[in-house]
Amino acid sequence: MSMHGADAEQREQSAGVRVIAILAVLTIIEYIAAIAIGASVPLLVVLTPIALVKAWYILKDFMHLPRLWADEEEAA
Amino acid sequence: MSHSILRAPIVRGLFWAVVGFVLAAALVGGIRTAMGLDFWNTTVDWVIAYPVALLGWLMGVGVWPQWGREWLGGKAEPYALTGWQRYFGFSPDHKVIGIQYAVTFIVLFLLAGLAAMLIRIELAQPGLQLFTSDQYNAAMSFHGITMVAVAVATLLGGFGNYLVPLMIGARDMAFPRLNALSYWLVPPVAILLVIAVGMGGWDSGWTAYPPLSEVNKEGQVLFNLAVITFGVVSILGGINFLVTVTYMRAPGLTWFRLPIFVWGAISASLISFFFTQAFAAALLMVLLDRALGTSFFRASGGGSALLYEHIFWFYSHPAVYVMVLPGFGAALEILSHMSKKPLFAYRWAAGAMLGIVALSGIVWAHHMFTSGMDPALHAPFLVLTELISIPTGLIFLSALGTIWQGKLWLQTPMLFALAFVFNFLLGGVTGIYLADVPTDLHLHDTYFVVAHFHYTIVGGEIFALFAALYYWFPKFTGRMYSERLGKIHFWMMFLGFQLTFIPMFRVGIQGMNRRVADYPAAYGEYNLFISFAAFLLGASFLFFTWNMLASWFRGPAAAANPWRASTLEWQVSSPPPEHNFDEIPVITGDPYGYGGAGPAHNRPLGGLAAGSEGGS
Amino acid sequence: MTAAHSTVHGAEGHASPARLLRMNRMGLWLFFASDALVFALLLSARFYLDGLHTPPEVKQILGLVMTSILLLSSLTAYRAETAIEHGNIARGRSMLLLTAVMGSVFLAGVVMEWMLAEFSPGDGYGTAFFSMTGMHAGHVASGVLLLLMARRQASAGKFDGGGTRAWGASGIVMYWHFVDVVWVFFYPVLYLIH
Repeated sequence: MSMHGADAEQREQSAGVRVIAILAVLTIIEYIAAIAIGASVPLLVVLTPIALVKAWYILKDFMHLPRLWADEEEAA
Repeated sequence: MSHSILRAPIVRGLFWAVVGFVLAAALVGGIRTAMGLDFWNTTVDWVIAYPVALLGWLMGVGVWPQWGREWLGGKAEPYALTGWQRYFGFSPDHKVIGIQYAVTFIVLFLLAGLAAMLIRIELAQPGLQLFTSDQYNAAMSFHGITMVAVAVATLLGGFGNYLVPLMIGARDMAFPRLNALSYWLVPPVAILLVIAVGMGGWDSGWTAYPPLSEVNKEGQVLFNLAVITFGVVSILGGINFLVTVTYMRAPGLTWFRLPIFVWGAISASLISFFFTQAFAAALLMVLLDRALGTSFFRASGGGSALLYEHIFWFYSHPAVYVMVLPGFGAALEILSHMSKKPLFAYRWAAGAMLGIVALSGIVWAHHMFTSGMDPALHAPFLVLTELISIPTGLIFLSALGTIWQGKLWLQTPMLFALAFVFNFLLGGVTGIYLADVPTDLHLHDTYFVVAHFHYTIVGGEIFALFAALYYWFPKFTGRMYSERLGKIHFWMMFLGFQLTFIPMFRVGIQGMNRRVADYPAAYGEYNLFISFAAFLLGASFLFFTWNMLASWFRGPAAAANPWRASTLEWQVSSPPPEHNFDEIPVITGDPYGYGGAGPAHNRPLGGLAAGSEGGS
Repeated sequence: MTAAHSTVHGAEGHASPARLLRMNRMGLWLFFASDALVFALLLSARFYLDGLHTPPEVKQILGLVMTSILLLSSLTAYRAETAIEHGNIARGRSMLLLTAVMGSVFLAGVVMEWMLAEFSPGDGYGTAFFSMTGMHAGHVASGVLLLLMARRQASAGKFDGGGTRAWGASGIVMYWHFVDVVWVFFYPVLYLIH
């Protein structure tokens, strides 16, 4: 991250777009599943992992969770 | 002169608190009037105006000039208070903050102790003497919550803040201004509780169980706001300790070279940052039920009072370890230094503290065996609760192994530390009867419970607190306390304590209920005895207060290391210099290097290394 | 005692910028863990009080639109952070503002939903719905204020040069994402399960 180049910034920006695309797709699946699946338990079985995956993407890519244990120089 | 008083941080804080409260209340009143409601509604007004007042208080007391300006891109003012004025202002210095916590909570301790004396006057005879039932409930509730706060915050907030940076060779805490902000949230807590008592108090104890806490007097609202605020103090403090110890240890000070008191602070911080919000959330739900008409705990709306008990005890059982873990740390620390022996089984003791942290979160429902919860929960919570005696036992063995064949130096701090071991044993053993479902069904809500938790919290934590107070008094103030007065305090407190609480086990087994102003005449003789013993216990604090005040102002100057102890805080002057260490020390050995090859104690800074052979 | 005091007290006195950054980061994550438990308790209370029941009157389309706006605002927040870390303050400022605007739209959605709600806070679902959305909205509102503060600090040049100096903005953006993570769980639990 010491690079101030527009290239590096551009690369990170498109990573963000990729994450939001995944989140959008998963949200649509959630919404459709809630309409399509009538029974409670199967719906929970579908919704729980989707929510966990969505949260994981935000934690990992948007909130930079791995920076917590990266080497001090990289983490900066 | 009057000009400078008006500019004092506390005066400014109060001014902006009042301004914030009045503005918010006026706004709420205006909206309510427009909606056709009464201008003033105590519950709604306090819930909305108090946070605004709190913000005003914080900003006025010093957050704005020293921190807030930066949030808007400006420059903060440098910290400028000197001398005694530091203690009455927003100071980022961990040593100032430690003393602020310690003094504030010892004053609250004496105040809540006074409430206990009034309670004992009332209970000396059957029937009502001093109080109405309602006033008794208010006094009991005030005593309860204030002592809980004292037990949570004096050792960790006061001694932890003062000592942890010194013990790990750091110049301050990780977040000094956050630390100051945490402390300055405390006075509003005390003020709210006092106003609540002035409004007639609240009658639901410190546990604030619904449905009572949803239908009683408005003092309850202030209680809830106070405790939620105090929860924030506890959480922010816990986070600060964890980051400090993780990242600010001096070079060479590995995790297993930390003094055991630091381990106590770490363990307590882990609990306070991860569990405290449960109490706050439960009280917030009560406020929502009262102010917005939700039905978390109202059976009429489909709510359940049992839900409250689950959330409440999810914090409030671990909370006893927030109180007692720093007490373990302080007591073990003193036992080692005053026996001139390395701490026995150091790693096991540190591991046991972490074990207690891990278990503390899965035992809460042992407070609820009689609540009507699912009986299937009884057995698992019984077993899990009893498991806690394993790590606690390890700490005991560490204490006993440390004093075993040691050269005990029976100064006041050591006496208190030894009494801690004795009292906590009784507290722990009597706890077994409350963790076991069959006996608990009989003992629940009796004076047996009162005696048990006073043995663990007062006999354990508060005795350790006084051990710490005498032990580190020379470091904090640069003066020596009077050993004679200290010993008088100790023996009066120790005897008064035993004579007060041992008979309570007895009347508890016989079925005397707690939290009631009156009782059957058959318990009269015991209670008269208990009351007199309690007055002896109370009187011991006259000697304590006298000793502290006289010694702080006029005591003889203390040496840098009067106990010839080996940990870092004793290797700097008393009180320590402004920035703790001129040069950050490098550590090469463990903190209890007694009995090693060379003369282990009283080494100059940096020579702390030498005694590593003497380690555990 | 002197003016130098405030710089010596605290980590600033003897920690490298990289070390300081790690400390700030750890503190913030501990705060998230702590705050997350409040939300987790509210979420469990929803199941405890009303099981899986979701009344048919819940406004599904409004919920989906609000969820989408909040998720999208995480992208703009991310863009703001990335730009500032690379020293591109101008873009960072506009993205912070855009994020705050989207957050405000979300808040307007909450207010609308509360006014349209056909269930009362007095029943099981209503208790969960109003308290969970209320607690979350409180966090969104504070997040909007923090974003505006970050923008103001950016204008004042506090983040110039990016890198470790961008922490002030980065921490606030992390808080914004955290509030979004909460909603990732709240949305299905309040709207979708049945």
